[in-house]
Amino acid sequence: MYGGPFNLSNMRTKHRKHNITAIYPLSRSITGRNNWHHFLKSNNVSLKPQSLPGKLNTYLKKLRLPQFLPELAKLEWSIYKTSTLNIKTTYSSGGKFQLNPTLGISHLNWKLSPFLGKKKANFRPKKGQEWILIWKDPWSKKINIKPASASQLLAIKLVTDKISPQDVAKSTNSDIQQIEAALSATQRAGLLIGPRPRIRRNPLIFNQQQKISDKYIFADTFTLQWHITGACDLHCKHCYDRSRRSPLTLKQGIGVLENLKNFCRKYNVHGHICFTGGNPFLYPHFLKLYAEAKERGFSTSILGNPTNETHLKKIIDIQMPGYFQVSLEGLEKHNNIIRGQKHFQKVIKFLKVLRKLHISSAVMLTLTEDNIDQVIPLSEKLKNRADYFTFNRLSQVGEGAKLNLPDTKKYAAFLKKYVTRSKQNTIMGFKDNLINIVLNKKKMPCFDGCTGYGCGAAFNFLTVLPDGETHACRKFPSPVGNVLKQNISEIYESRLARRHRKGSSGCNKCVIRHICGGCLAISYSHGQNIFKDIDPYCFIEP
Amino acid sequence: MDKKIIKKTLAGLGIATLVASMTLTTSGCGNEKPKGSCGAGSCGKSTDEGTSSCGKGSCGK
Repeated sequence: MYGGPFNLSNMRTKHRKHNITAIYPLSRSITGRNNWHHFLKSNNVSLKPQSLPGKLNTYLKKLRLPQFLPELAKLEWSIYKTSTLNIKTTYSSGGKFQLNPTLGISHLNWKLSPFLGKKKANFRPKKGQEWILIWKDPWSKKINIKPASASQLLAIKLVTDKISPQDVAKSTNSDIQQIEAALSATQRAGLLIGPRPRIRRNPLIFNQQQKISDKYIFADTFTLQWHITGACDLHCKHCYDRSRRSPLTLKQGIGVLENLKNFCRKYNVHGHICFTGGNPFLYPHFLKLYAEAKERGFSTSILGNPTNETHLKKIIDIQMPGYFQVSLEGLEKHNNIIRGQKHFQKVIKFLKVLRKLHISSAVMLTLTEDNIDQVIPLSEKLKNRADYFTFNRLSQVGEGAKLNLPDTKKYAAFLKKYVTRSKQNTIMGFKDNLINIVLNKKKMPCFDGCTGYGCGAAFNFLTVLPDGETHACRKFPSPVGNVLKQNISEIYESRLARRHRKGSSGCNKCVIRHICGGCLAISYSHGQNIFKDIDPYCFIEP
Repeated sequence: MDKKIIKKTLAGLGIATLVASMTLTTSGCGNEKPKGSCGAGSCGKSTDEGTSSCGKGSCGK
C-alpha cells in the first residue's frame, strides 16, 4: 500500500479549489518554493492542472530543474486522477476479465518507483524504462502505486487487446497454464476485475438483519492443505494423527494436482496448496510435486519442521513459498517436552535461515491448559525473529485427547489480553474465530476469521491425507470423500461437504457469523453436535 | 484511465517479449498472499488491512 506524501483524501476537495500543490507535492518540493510560485504565476496552470507536466518541460533549463521532473509530475497527475475515480464493482459480468476502471499506467523513462512514498525530495533517479501502475483496490478502495511486472503488463494487454490465453500460448509456444496464472494473479492484485467465483456461502446461514459484504460470501481462492506424507521426524505429544496410511505415489500426486486444477477452473477460483505432512521434506517426490504444482499456476506454502538451507534453496528455485510455518508449543522447556529435545533452538536457528532467504516465516502454537500462560511471552521472544505468530486451541482428538484445554473463563480472559498486547507486537496474528468476539465488543475492526471467511471447512478449504482421504478440516475427523477416487467438485458438492460448510445452525443469528462460526473441531472434541451446537468456548453476549 | 489510452500506452509492448520476461522473472509467487491463501488462517488484525491476506496459520499442526 502506498504511503507517500500525497494526501489523497483531501485531493478531490483541494482540486476543486485548484490547489495544484496538493496534486503535485513532490514536483513542488523539488522545484522549490520560489520557483514553483514563479512558474505557476507565469503559466496560469492552476486553471488546468493536467497541463503542468508538459509546461514544466519548457522551464527546465530556465529554472535549472532536473530532467526527470516532468515525468514525476506526469506520475503525480496519474495518481491524482486515480484518487478521484470510484470503483463499485468487485466482479465482472459476462464471465470475462475486465480492467479495473480506476487503473492508470505511466510509462516512464526514469526509474522513479524507488522514490515513491519518500517525503523528502532528495532523490536522484537513474535513467531507464519503467511502468508504474496506479489503481484502487476493488475491496479496500485504497490506492496502490507499484511498478508493473511483465506478467501484469501481459495480463492487462490481453484484456485490452481481447487476446485469448490460448492464442498467446500458441503464438509464443508457451504453456497456457502460465498465461492463465498471470491473468489470475493480476486479478488477485486488483488490477483486473474477474468473473464471480462459484464458491459461495449460503446467505441463509447469516443473520438476516445484516447486510453481509460479498467479501464474505464469495471466495476467490481455494486451498488444499495436503498432507503428502505421514512420515515425521518428530513425535509430538498432541499429534492428532499418527495412523499409518498408504503412501502417495508421484503419479497419484500429479493426478491430485490435475483434479484440483479442474476444480479451480470449474469454480473460477485460484488454487493454493499448503504442503504439509508429517514432514513434507521426507516425502521422496516432494520437489517434483512442488514443481508440478507451480507448473499448474498454484500458489504454495509449506507447513513443516525445520529443514536445511539446501532444501529451501531448491524450493525457492522452483517457486518462492508464500510462507513457511513451523510450530512451537511454548517457551523452550515446555516446547521441548512436547516436541523433543533441542527442538526450540532448532526452530530459532531455522527462523534465521528463513529470514536470510527472504521466506516469510510463521510460528504456530497449539494452545492447551499447560501453555496458555506462555503464549504472550513466546510471542515477545519471537518478535524480531519470526514474521508472524499465532495460536489455535488444541483439538482433543488423537494423541491430543491426553491433553487439556483451559476453562472457558480463563480462555476468554486470555483472548482479551492477547488482543491488547497485539497492538504493540505486530507479529501477533489472529486465527481463532472467537477473537472476533473481543474485537467486536471493543468496537475494534474485526479480522476475517480462521480461513478468511470465519470457519472455512469444506468452503474455501479441504485437507487431503496421503491416501487421498479428504476432510473438511484437519483438526477433527470430518471425511467428505477421497481425491484419488473422486473429482474434487464431486466431493465439494457432496451432502457431507455442504453440511460442514454450513457449520452450526446455532450460530445463524449471530452478528459475527460471517467471520466466526466458532471451531467445529473444538465442538467435536467436546462431544457436541457440530451442526447444531455452538462452540463450547463461545462467550459472545446476546 | 480510459481503456483506449491504456491500449495505446501498451501498444509498443510485444506479447512475445512479455511472455519471455515473465518466464525469466516469475520463479515464484513472490510471497503473494491472497485472501485465505492457505484457507487456513489469517494474518489479519483488521479487515481494513486486507485480513487473512497472508493466509498464514494452519488448522493446526
